[in-house]
Amino acid sequence: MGVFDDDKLGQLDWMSQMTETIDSDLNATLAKLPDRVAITAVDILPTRNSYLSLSVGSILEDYIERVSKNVSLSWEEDNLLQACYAFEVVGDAEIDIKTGVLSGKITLVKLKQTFSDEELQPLMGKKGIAAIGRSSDYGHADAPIDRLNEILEILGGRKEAMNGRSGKKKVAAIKERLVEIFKTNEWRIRDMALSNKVGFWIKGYIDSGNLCNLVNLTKLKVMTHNNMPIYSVKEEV
Amino acid sequence: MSELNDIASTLGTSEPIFKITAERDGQLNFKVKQQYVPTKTGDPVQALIVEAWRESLDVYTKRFEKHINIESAYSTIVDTVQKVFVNCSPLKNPKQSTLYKWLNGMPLRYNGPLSPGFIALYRYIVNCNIQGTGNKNNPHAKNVIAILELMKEKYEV
Repeated sequence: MGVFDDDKLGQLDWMSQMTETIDSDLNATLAKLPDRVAITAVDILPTRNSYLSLSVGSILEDYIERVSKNVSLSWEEDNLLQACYAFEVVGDAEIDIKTGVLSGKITLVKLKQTFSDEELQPLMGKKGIAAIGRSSDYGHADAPIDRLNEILEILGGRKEAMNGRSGKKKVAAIKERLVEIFKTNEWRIRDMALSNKVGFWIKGYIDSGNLCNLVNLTKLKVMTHNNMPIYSVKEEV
Repeated sequence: MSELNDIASTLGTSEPIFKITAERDGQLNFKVKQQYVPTKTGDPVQALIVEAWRESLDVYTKRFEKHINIESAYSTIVDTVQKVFVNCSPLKNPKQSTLYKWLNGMPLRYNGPLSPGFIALYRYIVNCNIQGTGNKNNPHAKNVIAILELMKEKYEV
C-alpha cells in the first residue's frame, strides 16, 4: 500500500466512486434521528423560559445531542438538519393552557432522509477554515511569516500574498484560497471530515510548526494530482 | 371604587385556549381561539378605558391577565380639558391666566377630589364634540370654562 493511497475510496461501491458523492457524518446523524416525533402538551405548554412557542430546533435539540454525542454541530449544520423536518397537524389541534389538554394530533415529521451534494458542498471545509481564526490575530511582528508562505505555496493561487511581511494579509489570503478550493471543488475532496481537517492542519502548522500537519497537507496536495476524488489521507500523527 | 376602576373591572380577558396550525415553513402557529375584544358602549370615558386595555398570558396563573393603564387614561382626560380651555378661552393669552396655571400645576393623580369633575367634563366635551374646535363662542366650551372656574374656586388651596 502506498503513502498516497486513498483507503476509503477503495472501500466505496462503484456507484459512489463514479458519482463522487460527498461522505458526511451529517447524513449519518440525520439517519439516526427519528422519522416521527409525537408532540405532547408538555412540549407546548408555556414555562418560565418559553412563551408558547415550539420550534423544530427545540424538539430536535435533545435527539441531536444524543445521536451526535461529542461532535458539536455548527449553526449551519444544525439548520440543515432542522430543515429536514416539519410539523404535521391532524384534526383541529387546540391547547387549553388552563387544563393542559391538547386536542388533535401534532407530529414532527422527517421530510428528507439524506442530504444532497448541493446542500453539503457549501459546508465543506468550513469548520477548519473557522479554526484558523481571525487574520488580525497574525498582525503582530512575531507572526511565523515563513510558515505562512509555505502554506501559501502549497495551496497555490495567491502568489502575491507571499511577497509582503504582513502575517494578517497572508492568513487572510490562506483563508480566501481555502474558500475558493472548496467552493469550486478544485481538490475534489469528497469527505466532509477530511475537508475540515485541512484548516486544522494549517492552523497546527502555523502556530506550532508541527511537521505532521505540514506532511498531511502536502500528502493531500500531492493526491490532488491523481485526478481522482479524495476521501481519506493516511495521516501522520 | 372610583369610576375608572369600575369601568375597568367590567372588561374581561380571552380564554387561554389556542388553535394550533402548521405554517408553510413547517413551524407551528398559535392563535387564541376566541380573542376577547372589549366593546365600546358609546360612553367616551369607557372608550378611553377600552383603548387602554391590554392582555397578556401569565404563565404562572395560566390565564390571560388584563392590563389597563388607568393613570394614562386619566392623564388624557385632564389634557383634553386643558386643551379645550386653551383653544376656546376668550382671553388673549390663556396660558398666562391663573386658571391655566392652576390647571397646569395640579397633580395628575387619579382619585383626587377633582377626578370626578374632570371625568364628567371630559364626557361632556366629547359628547358635545368640542375637543378639537377653537371656537371661542361655542356655548358648550363656555360652559366648560365656567365649570373650571368654579372648580378652581372650590378646590384651589
